[in-house]
Amino acid sequence: MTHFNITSAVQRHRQEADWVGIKWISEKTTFRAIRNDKPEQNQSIYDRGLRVEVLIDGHFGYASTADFSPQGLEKAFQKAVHQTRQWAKYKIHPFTREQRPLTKGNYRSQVQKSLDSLSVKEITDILRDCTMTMKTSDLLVNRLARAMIIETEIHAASSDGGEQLQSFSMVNLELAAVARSGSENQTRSASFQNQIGAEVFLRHRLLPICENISRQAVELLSAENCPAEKTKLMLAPDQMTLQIHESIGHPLELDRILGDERNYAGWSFIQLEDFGKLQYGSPLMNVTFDPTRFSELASYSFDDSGARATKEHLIKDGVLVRALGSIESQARSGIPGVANFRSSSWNRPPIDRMANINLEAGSTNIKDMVEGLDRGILMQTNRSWSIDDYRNKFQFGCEYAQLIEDGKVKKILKNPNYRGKTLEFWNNLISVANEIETYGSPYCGKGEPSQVIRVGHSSPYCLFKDIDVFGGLT
Amino acid sequence: MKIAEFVRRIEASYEHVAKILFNELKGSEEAVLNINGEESLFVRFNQNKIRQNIFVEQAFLRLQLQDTTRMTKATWGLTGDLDIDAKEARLRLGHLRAELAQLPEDPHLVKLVDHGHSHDDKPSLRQDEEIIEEILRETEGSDMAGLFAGGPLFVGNKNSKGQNHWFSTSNFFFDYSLYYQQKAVTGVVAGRNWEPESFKKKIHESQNLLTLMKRPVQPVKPGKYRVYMAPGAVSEIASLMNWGALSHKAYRTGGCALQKFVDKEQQLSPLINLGENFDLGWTPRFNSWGEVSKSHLPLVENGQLTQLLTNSNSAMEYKIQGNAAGEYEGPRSLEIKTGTLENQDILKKLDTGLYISNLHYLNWSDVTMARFTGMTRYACFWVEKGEIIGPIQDLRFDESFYRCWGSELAEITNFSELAPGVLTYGEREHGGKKVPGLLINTWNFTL
Repeated sequence: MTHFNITSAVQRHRQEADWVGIKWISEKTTFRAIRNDKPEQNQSIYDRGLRVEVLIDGHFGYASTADFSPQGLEKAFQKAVHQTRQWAKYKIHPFTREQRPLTKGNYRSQVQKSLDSLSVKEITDILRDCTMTMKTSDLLVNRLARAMIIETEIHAASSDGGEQLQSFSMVNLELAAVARSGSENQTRSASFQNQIGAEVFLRHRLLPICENISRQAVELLSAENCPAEKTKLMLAPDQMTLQIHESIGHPLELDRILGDERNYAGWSFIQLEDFGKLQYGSPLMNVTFDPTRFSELASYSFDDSGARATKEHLIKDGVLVRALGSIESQARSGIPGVANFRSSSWNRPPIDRMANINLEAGSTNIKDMVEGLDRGILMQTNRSWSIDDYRNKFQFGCEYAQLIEDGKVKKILKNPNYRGKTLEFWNNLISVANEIETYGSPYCGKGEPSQVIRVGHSSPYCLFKDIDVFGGLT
Repeated sequence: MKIAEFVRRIEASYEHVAKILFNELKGSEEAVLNINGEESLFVRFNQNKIRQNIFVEQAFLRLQLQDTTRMTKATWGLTGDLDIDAKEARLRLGHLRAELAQLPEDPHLVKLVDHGHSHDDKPSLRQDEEIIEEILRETEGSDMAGLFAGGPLFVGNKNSKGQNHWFSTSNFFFDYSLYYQQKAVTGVVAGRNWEPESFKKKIHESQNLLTLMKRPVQPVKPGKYRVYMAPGAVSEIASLMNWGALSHKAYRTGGCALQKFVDKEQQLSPLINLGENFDLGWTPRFNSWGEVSKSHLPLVENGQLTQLLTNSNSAMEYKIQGNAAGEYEGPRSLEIKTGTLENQDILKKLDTGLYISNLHYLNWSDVTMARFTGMTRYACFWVEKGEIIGPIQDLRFDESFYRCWGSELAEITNFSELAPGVLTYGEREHGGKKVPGLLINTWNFTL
């Protein structure tokens, strides 16, 4: 909980601007890693601070500090007020108090066992069992099990009486095995990113995965390179998460479309007039912004503006209908958006971010999807990603692929890559499976100043036609 | 000076906390302290207006506690209040002590020694708030997007053996793009002192370059082309060196994209000379163990590997000599040495091909073959018979270091440019690079 009374602090400073707010954030992030059965990393980061926010002459400005004393708070407000008043005449848009809706409420991650119910030793032992289980061949040169355990408390209050308390319990678990033959290395990995508790650390769930990825890493060493051809491409959900993130999530961010991000991550091929009209993909494509989904990494009840977070369709039956735009971007553009005004921590201002961006399930059974393929390639687990600054031309690579012919898996392929253009690619979507898997990332980078934020993505297996695939150099 | 007040307050608290922590160690316990902090003003621009402004004071202290066989770490924020910070430090020490007893033994634990003392303080008289209006005045009429970041920042390191290093500076950067419709040019102005005339000159150069972007877009299909990579593009390529390419640990664990080069199965051009040059002054020479790197550390000389970056952990694990590399064994102050190609000869020697000023979103596409993909970005031009014809539509490429820094490398410019680090993830970046331009015989564009 907060070490000072946030609501009285807001009230003490309420006269200094047209609207004031304070967001207090306390986050403990613990890294535990075992590599080749030996300790690799044990570190906890206790990050605690606050951000004051003022609205003056239609311009929002911020100041951040870890000094919660009256003097520390006073200095933060002085800086925010002085700088915001000084530069309000250069504001990009005349904002009002409407961009800070008055809401009150709470959010708490749903967990079965609290993260502190396992001791350091118990977690370390499980991770060590993971790397020991990966020891299936002498060709394995690196076996890694890493847990990133995050506990976050956020308390926000505003001068008009708004107040939100949100607490999160998250784990990012990574398992990876690297096999080597000569100077060739092949990696297989698995990862889990969820709002979850200590129930994620289950040996009976993790150890079979460890054994499987270690065997697959070794198998890849003797596999053929992925052929270069235009073919049908089936993507597993752990690659779909990257495809959704890069070619749907980022181009739909309204602050990008409005140009805020042009000097860093880039612009977008989407224009404001595209909303409600653009055929983004095939009619099988239904994409939602869903911060309400149980256990997904970026679920929450309120964004940093105080807006209440609700599930919304971004793309419906293939048509672009809504932007990933916060209440500020909505005011600037007149385009419908979502509650996605998010900051990475107390020392960065909120910007338009993804949260949980999900591809909704279709109707095809996965077995039928495979059996219906005359020839195609199934790719799993991202290992390489690159897309242009308008989010159009992309090239992605995966760890593991399988050639499917006449409805059967024929062989393993290594170094699989594919490339394409966003709209062509999504309009080539020909089948969507009926079961969903959930992944995400704790490391989505964006913004000036730069910020990493957590995102979640759920997707079924998907099948695309006419995709350029290729392998490694020989 | 008022601007240094936060730094002084945090430094005093750091000294106070260090004394307490080192005094309270028991038995075989040893400790390392690392501090990173900054007082920053960030102003974000779009359409030559201010999108957001934030003032940030932050300082993070990391305590590494170890005994003879085990080690663990905790990081927390310092407030500048001696009593609050001392209380928090004692709490963290107690937690780490309890945790240490639960951890397995670490056979690669680095024993602490006293790596000496250093003090490097680079103050500045700059007033960042006054610069903002100057930026807006000078770029008036342009469609400018960008970020100003400035203020004091500091790094310190101490250990319980008596070691003590301090590095502080006060610098700024203004990283910007000027747009004409969907075409743009980019630039960075950076330093410790604000120089209005050189800032105006830089902006005017960018505005002049932007006029070239108004020419008709040249249709260039994917394929192999002769290219000139300007220093801005080479800086992006060189950034891949931070993704394990020069790391000894990555070499041993399967993440080194230059493994075939290290194993002498593939070669780089004898024109390639690169290494660490801490004389650039952007980042301290000491690492988080307090080890001080040589000011010049050659990594590749005349196309031959001199050494990989090796930190003390890797040195212990693989029983080799370390070279005071950082925790992630990536270059912290990389310099690629110049060659002989003169500025006025670049277009003539390029003849017909592409002039690439910047690249975007590079990533390894095939680590085994040092192959990487990415996009052209900003001012990139089609050149015919030594003359710039017009800008191109951005292209995707897929290339290997063994070609572009190997068999296909024709010449390196006789000048280089400084590329200060402008990333601000969590904190303002300390490092930077100094790189020349490269003339490359063929470059593979794919989409």
